[in-house]
Amino acid sequence: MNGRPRRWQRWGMQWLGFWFAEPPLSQLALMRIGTGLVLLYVLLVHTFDLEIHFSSQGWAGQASLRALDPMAWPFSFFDWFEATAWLWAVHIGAMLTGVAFLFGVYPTATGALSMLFLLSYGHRNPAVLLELDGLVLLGLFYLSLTPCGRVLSALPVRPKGPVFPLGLEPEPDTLAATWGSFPVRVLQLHLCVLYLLSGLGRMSPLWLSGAVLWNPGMAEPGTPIDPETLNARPYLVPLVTQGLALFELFYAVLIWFSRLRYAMLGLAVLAHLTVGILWDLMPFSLMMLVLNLSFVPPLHLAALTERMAPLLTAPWALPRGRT
Amino acid sequence: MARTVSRLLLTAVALLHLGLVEFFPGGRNSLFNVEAPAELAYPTLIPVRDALGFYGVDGDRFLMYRVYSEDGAIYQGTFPAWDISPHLRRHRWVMAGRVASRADPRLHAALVGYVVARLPAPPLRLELFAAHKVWPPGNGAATAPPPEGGAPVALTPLGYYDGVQRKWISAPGEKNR
Repeated sequence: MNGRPRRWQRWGMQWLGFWFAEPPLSQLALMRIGTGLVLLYVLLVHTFDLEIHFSSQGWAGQASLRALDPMAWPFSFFDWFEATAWLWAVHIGAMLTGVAFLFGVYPTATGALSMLFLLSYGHRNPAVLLELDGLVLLGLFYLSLTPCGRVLSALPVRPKGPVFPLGLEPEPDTLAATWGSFPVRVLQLHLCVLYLLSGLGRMSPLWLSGAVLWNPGMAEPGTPIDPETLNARPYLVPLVTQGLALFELFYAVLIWFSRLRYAMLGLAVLAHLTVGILWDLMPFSLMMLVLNLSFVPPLHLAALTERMAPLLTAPWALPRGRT
Repeated sequence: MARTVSRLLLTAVALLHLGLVEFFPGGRNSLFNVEAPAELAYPTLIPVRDALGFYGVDGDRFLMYRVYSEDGAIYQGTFPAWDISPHLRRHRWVMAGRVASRADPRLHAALVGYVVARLPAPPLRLELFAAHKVWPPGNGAATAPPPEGGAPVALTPLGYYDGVQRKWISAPGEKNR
């Protein structure tokens, strides 16, 4: 009797093998740290205008702000009480939860709670929402579904179940080992579709000709990309606009080829740092680079963190039992 | 067998989730003018439309106000103020300015009330304008920078605050929501 699997069985195994594999613990940990740092920066900047934007005595009435919200159930912790002390209590709670997520303290719970806090800010005042908020939510959503706190974590009490010190890979047959990579795959596909749709949106004469850079709102005098700079170096204009459009269009396909992966990741670093520096969009650019870590081969990141571990003095960084 | 079926279901849910967040950002597909059911709009969370972060950070639309004080002085300012740092904070105010410059009398009345409450003395009159930096003139594509001093600003009156009656009066023809 022939023991070889049938064609549809092989396709099924390959399909499931694509979605479910060993979880890249070091990769997840680094993404968790990057997302946590961006989240804390977002919350820190909220501190400056917390009462102006989010209190009931702010610049916009609550009724008009509620009309701006497209969601059917605009959940917000800020709506529970109207006192200013409650406003600050929620904000401090959000920052403490962000710190806990950054240090890997029960990242599933703290990640989900951080999402609720971010949604609270967004639903309280939709007028000040930025795409950066959506991006941080995206990162928190996927990372909270992964075991991203198993390594490079400050949690003093290890959770029940297998513990994977830095440098050791988990058992491939455990459910945790196969579940952990699934959200990463979904995140990778999400990124690809995001780049593709964004690139298709740039297929307009206004962008490809570079005229969009002359938009007075984007070319402010005194910024690195001010009108005088563009006028002095006209060749920069199509280089920037068409280069960015091509990068976004082809990212979704070329990133999946192993031989081209590092080249595409290098282009991603170049593109996002260029945009971040020239248009003062560094938090967004850095968050995109954090999410791009999902495409870095996990073994390379694990080797990198293993090399970095002796440089850190904190106890959690050192692998157990290693000399 | 159960594990295989559960994983297949998970992948189907993942693809549905991706479809929702990418094609119905914020519960709505602006390309086909279709809205997702309200119950499914929530999972799409806050949409991310631009992979490079350009969406909404250009400060070409904002509000301008002109205050007539009781001592005869006239001064004006913008909402938001441009000397704000760090940049992330400024971008939030830029977005607030874009939203506030839309036709929304209720929002304008609330904003004017906020500004008036923080003036050193109650004004006789406060005029509010939707401001829009215009470059180039017309709809043609620009290949040269705006003139010295920045792009010209087109103003659309939104209404005014009457300091005597202490009430907001919308400009004629402004949309009501």
